[in-house]
Amino acid sequence: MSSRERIPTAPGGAGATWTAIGSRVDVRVADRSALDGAAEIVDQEIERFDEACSRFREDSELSRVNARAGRPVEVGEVLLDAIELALRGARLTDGSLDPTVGLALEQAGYDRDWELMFARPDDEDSGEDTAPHAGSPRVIARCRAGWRQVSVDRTGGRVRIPAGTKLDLGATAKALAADRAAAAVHVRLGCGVLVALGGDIATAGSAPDGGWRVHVTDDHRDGACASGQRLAIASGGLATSSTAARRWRRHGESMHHIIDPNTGRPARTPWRTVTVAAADCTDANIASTGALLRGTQAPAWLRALGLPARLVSVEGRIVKVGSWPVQGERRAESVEAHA
Amino acid sequence: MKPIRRDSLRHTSGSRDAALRRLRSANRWLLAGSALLTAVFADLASSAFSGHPSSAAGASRAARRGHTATKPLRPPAQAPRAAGPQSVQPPAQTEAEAPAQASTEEGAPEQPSAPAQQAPEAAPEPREAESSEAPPSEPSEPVVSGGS
Repeated sequence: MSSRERIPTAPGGAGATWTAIGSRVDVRVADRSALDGAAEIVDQEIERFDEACSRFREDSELSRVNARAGRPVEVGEVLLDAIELALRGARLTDGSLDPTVGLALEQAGYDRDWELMFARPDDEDSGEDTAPHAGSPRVIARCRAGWRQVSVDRTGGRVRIPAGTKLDLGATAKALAADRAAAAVHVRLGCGVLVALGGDIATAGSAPDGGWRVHVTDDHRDGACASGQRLAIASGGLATSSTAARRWRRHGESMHHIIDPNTGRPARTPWRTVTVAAADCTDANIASTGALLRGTQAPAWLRALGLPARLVSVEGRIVKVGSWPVQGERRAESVEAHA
Repeated sequence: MKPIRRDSLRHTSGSRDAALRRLRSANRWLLAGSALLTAVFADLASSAFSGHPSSAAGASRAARRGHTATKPLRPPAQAPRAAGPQSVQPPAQTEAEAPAQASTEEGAPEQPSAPAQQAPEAAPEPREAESSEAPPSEPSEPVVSGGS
């Protein structure tokens, strides 16, 4: 964890930001005196999730499950919850959001913590074959509908994933951690709170007057000055999935971290960024990543679910679904409303 | 040559017919039994790999058995709204932005971007460009929701 930086906020409130698990962490509280306690609680929750769900920590429970694919492995409550949530995401998106794409992600080159990837010499566009199995039929075949063969024994506290697969919970575990952290702060300190983990936002308790201020953009690291939209949310969760974030090059090819389970390769989608508001962060996250993978059907799918959303096409066209506000765009080139 | 007696012939054909009837009956029982066993084994297999019904029928069967139904995605109690007037600006065109397209029915092939100085990050083309200007003064810095 990096040192926390205090953020100026609305009168009475307070905020802090720092870096953990390769992502920016933001905490806002409606009661200034609760900030330090809230930040501690959020840190503890992040650590709990990292110990259970990290694909990059050798000592994590998820690494144990992945190393023993095909056999049942005893795991704790946090990982059980995270895996069940990931399977729920797969069911709700008809398998578009498949947590068994871990191996495909590795083959695409995303096999270590994001910060460590900067130090990898073989990611330069050298043209050398540094990913021998990238996109091979073997990997693709194992990606397809692997989630249906994941077995969760809640009573016995055991998980078994299909042999030859690896789980990646990055899509949903972070959102679950944000929801849990926000709820924990609210329960223990009794104040309204917003927690953002790598751009996925969860809230709990009462928001300050005017709501929590949020800026929606392609990559959460770009900050509030980047092109995007200014919003205020009073409750629930907000999540953004984007193919513009976490990109790298492999064998001359531009890669990103959202894998299409049908191909085992980074998804080719008409959308570069999808933001969804939902009752909580996990629902918003499932919907935003699911929409990104649904391609042209995404606006209709989100509309049918009653989820307000903002989609940005690869060309920069903005499509707004449901009750998503039209105003507040900064440097928008084209905005469409799909009521 | 000894002639074949008519009643003997009748006896032989009667026995054959009876045997054929028994065979047909046995076949029917075998078919019914194998269908039943298939159903039993399928049910056992679906129980062993629980919780992922592949169809609406499967889902309703799971629900009857008391499996947890998949909770649908829930909309927010209150939709987001545009933030305060100081941040609401009319849409503006800038040179840094890609031109608007009339349709995005087909995903445009991603433009290969130049290798980043510091791999692996390589910005896609086009993407929402960073503003070179500072935002208007606001009472608080907003939290950023973006891809991660």
